[in-house]
Amino acid sequence: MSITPLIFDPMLAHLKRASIGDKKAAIALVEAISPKLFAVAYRLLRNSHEAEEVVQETLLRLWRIAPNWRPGNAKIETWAYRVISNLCFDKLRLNGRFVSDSLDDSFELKSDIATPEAYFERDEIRNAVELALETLPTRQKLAIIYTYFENLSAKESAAILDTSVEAIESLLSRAKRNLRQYFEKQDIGLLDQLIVTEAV
Amino acid sequence: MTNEDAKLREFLKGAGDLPPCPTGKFVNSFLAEMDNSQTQNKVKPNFSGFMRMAAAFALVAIGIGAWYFNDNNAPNNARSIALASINAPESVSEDLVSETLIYGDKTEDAFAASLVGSDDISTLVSISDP
Repeated sequence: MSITPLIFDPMLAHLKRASIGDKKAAIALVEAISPKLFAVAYRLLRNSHEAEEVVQETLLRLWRIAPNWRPGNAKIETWAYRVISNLCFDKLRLNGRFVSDSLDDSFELKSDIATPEAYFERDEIRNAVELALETLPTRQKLAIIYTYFENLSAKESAAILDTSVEAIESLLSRAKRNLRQYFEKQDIGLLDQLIVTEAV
Repeated sequence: MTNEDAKLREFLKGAGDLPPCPTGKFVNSFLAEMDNSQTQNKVKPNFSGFMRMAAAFALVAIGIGAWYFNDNNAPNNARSIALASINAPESVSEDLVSETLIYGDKTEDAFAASLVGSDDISTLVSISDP
């Protein structure tokens, strides 16, 4: 019989207190979680207004589920990341901006803005990274966001994307390879700063 | 963390800064939703009270209806006996029938006698008289 250790989750405490009308707890909850959600949404959607919309919707759903939240099922952050990921996918699909990643992993430039002209018009490094990320298939991009921007483990990312740890590692591996190929094709000269070793 | 991961992480730091998160806006929306839900919860008890009253009224109405229905359909109550006596066909005993018939016969004879008398009229008037 396995015993699950009790870990204090401050977000859960805030949520439970908020669900019975504690406004201070509600404020603490939203202040803690909304910047993380907004960061993910903005990096994925590249649009402040759309990012705001999906964060609002995620918080609304969190409030609705609060009275029935059962501790031990999932961390609140994981649940919220999952909801916002799906909402972002829906928005991208609605706008025809969702890029699916095929298993054969053939890499193509997906975005018209990822051209050298666009690149040289902006700040070199910042835009190189942004444009490179824009070219990634959506799920690969999200795996990069959760792993490298939000510092989540592969296990947490797998829970969010409703997949296995192996699948997350595969997504990351393909994402890194695609980024490297992108810079090779662009001949930007930033390859030395990027991954020069062979992708896993 | 592998060397590759460290390099990638360092490289990704070069990504553009995020716009400021409108946390205050999110907080206000969340609090507004809380207030809205609490208002609805306050309305709910009144609604439940109304529903309880309606349910009680319906039960009373059903009870009255059931009592009235049973009252009209009970086999031995006074109302049903009275109605049965009004609606039932009149029954006549055999003795009364025979007495009536005898009296009728007697009445007919007396009446016939008062009209015709004791003489047979056919003997007074010739049938074959032209």
